[in-house]
Amino acid sequence: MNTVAVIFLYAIIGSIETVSLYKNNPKKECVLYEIALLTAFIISLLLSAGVELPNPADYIRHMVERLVG
Amino acid sequence: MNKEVISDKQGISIIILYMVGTSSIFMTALEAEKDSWLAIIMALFMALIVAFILARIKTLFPEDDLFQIIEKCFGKFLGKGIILLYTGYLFYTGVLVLMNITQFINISSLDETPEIIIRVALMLLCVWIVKEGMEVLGRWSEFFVIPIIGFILIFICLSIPKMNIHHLFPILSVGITPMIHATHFVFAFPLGETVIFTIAISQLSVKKSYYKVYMTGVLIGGIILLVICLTNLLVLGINITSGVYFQTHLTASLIDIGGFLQRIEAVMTVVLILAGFIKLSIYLLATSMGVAKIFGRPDYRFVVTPVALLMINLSVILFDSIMEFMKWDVEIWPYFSLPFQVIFPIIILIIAEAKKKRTKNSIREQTCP
Amino acid sequence: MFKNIKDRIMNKKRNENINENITENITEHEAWELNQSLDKNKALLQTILDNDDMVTFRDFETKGKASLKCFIVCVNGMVNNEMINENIIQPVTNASLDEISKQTKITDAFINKIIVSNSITKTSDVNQLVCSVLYGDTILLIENETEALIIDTKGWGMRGISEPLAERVVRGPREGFTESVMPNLALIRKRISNPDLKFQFKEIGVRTKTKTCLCYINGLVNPKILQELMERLDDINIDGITDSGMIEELIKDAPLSPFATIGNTERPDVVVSKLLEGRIALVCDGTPFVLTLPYLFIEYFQANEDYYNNYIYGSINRLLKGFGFFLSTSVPAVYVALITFHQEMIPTPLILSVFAARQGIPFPTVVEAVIMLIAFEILREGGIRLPGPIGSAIGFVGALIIGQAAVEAKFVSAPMIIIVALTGISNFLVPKMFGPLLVMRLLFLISASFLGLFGYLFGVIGLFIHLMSIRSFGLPYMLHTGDLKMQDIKDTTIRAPWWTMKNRPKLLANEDSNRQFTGNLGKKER
Repeated sequence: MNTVAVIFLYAIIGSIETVSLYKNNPKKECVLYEIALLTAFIISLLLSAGVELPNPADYIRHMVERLVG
Repeated sequence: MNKEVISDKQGISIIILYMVGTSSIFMTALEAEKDSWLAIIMALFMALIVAFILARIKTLFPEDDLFQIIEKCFGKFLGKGIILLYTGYLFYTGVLVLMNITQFINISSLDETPEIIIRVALMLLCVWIVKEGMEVLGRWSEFFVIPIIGFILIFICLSIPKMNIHHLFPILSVGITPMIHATHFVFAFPLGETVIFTIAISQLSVKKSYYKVYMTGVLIGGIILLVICLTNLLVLGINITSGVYFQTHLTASLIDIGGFLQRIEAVMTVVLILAGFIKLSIYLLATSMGVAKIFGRPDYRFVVTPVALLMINLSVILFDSIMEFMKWDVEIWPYFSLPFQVIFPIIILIIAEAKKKRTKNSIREQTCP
Repeated sequence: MFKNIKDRIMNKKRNENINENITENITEHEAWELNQSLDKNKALLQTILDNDDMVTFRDFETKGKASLKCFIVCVNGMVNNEMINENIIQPVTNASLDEISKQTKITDAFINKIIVSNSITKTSDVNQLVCSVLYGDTILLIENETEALIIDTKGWGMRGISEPLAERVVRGPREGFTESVMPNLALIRKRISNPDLKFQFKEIGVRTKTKTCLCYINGLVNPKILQELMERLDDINIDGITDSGMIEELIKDAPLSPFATIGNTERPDVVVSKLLEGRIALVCDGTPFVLTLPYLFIEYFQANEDYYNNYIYGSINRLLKGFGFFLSTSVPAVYVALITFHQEMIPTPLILSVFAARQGIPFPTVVEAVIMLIAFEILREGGIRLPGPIGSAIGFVGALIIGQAAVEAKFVSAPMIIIVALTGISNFLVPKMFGPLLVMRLLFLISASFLGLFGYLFGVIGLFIHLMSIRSFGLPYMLHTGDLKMQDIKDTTIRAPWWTMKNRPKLLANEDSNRQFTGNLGKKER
């Protein structure tokens, strides 16, 4: 259910944005946009499927604790 | 290069809304207990110093935003690295702000609605305004800053009958160490966050007014926070204050004038949402600008939506509960943000001053040998 | 956001070849010039005006030995017959050309000595001749002349000047514009007797050639805005214009927004006050609605009557209109949000009575609200075009009978009737904003039904992002709307006394900002 919603949402966003994007921007922007959107999509998909992803908060905690003591 | 010019008044409005933002609804300096208002005053002084440093940097390079200044000072390679760090920091902070707002909405009234829906709705508005650009953001803030300050004043005035001055005494009872911790915390969030405006407010219509805008904004924002903190302490007392998450909400809900003036907490919620929305938009804007800068693109607009989506994703990953969130916020956050708020700006200022002096000297040598 | 779409539409429009074909068809005649021979000219005109029974050709001759043949062409019904008979045919047939010296041209002699008319032009361009005939002028062709005379004999029937129905006032001038451009311009001109008031004609519409007129006051108008408007008008390439609303939609900023970035009015006094603020008016033939631009959001709330009544009363009206705007957009959304999500925020006695009234209602509150709002719009739209008595009958049936019956049949709850009635009535406080209000109301209602008061708040945020982002001819749409500066608040949230409004609104008038030259007008009386 969640996965379907995620796919649907990204499909809408992608189709709305890409049209004006490809018209008004140089190629490099479009490629960057697609890569970023794809990353977000994959993460969302994993999250909606219930996969546990590494939490950056923990890394920051380790780092700060090592530095400050 | 797409640069948007905003007026001084709009700049100050943005900073005030930013400062009031999420911080008006829950208090930050609770380690200092009864003296948290003193901690806010001390943090405000520190924040003014930092604002002065940043205004100085901006005055040296009035045409550039912080990222461009970093590239000029550290060179291309090292500069990119620092920009990457900054972008990560802004991204992460933006996620914290987003979580803050939606958690408040979720806990205070919409407890049955999934948080993710609120986040998506809020982010949608942020993407819209950021794509419209800084000018629209400035005009929006200028329009809403007056009602927001008015609401806060109403809230404070109506709270006066419930205040009890004994809740503040004895002053300075907690000792030095918690005091310093509390000051540091208030400084870290939100008073010392001026650095984000060197990125977002990249151009003012009057070139030399960075000092005025940064310092007035921080001062007014800080004073509003101080007054709200005092009101909460005076009405609730420290025992209740440290026991709840959203102190201002509770204080406002206690207001009851003659049986008909109730539900002022709705007004405070409006303040939180409007100001928090601006805060979140500023983070989204700055992060997008950072990403665009890393890849050397002149305009940031194309990357706004993916950044917003990534922020929503990260907000799902980060914390499971508000308790975990608050704990992280108090223990780790102040140290994590310190380099970005203070250490980097000071280094940049030193290098920038040295560079300016050198170029000035070289120009002088060239012109009058 | 809207810019991209606008560009796309513009491109599409340019790519269409249909319009260009029209232009080609008509400009084919461009090379046509008049001939020496009168018969050939007549044949030419007859072929152009073929199969048109309204067009009248009339031949006659001058007196004397060297009599000249001439003929006139005019369109029956569009001309003043008396004028043609007495001022053209009679003098020409009575005139004798014998004493006219050989040096003077015959056409000049006609203009100077014979024809009685205040406006004559001569031309050899057939195109121009035909156009002016079709617009009520009479053309006179003379034997052996390659130039014809265009004589102004316009005289068609038109509606008299009456009070505009849509913008009635209790106090203020009762004149309204009519459907003819010239009398309309006269209504403006007679209010500003100043050589700085300029009128510039422009024809829009390839087929209809509708006369439009730009009015502005030199020295007050911002030349950049004027320039921009000219360019946009030149870009219009359309078959025909039947109302100024079409021009408005073709040249307005933010074309997809429900909000108007160009104003319209039927009242000359409103146009004059806008002109004096440095705005530009666009009068279009065939419609009493005159466009004024640039148009800012705050102008929705400025009624002309505010300026003629006592300033306190005017200010109260202004505030009431703002409140009406708020009520009309927000009441259904807030009600639905409170009932569905935030019951704890309603005082207990009230919530008890509301829930008692809602007992047995089959629909959720949102559905109920949407149904009732649509029903209200149907009643309004149904009643608006009917003649007066029937319209009010529909109002009675709708409001009393259907409302009462619906509540008693437990179809809708009584509080919802109150909410919708309140919304509908407050609609009429800002009469020019019907469309935007309707859109906003429904959007707020939908977002409030998803996220409660927060949804409503998000809707408000979105509305203001949109309002802040649009511009009207380079001016921010929300200029001065939320300002608390003394200078700007005088004519926005309140209506200050006239003697305090010494300056024109800034940014609009960039050259001469003084509205009053002696600053002590009101103070003397105090």
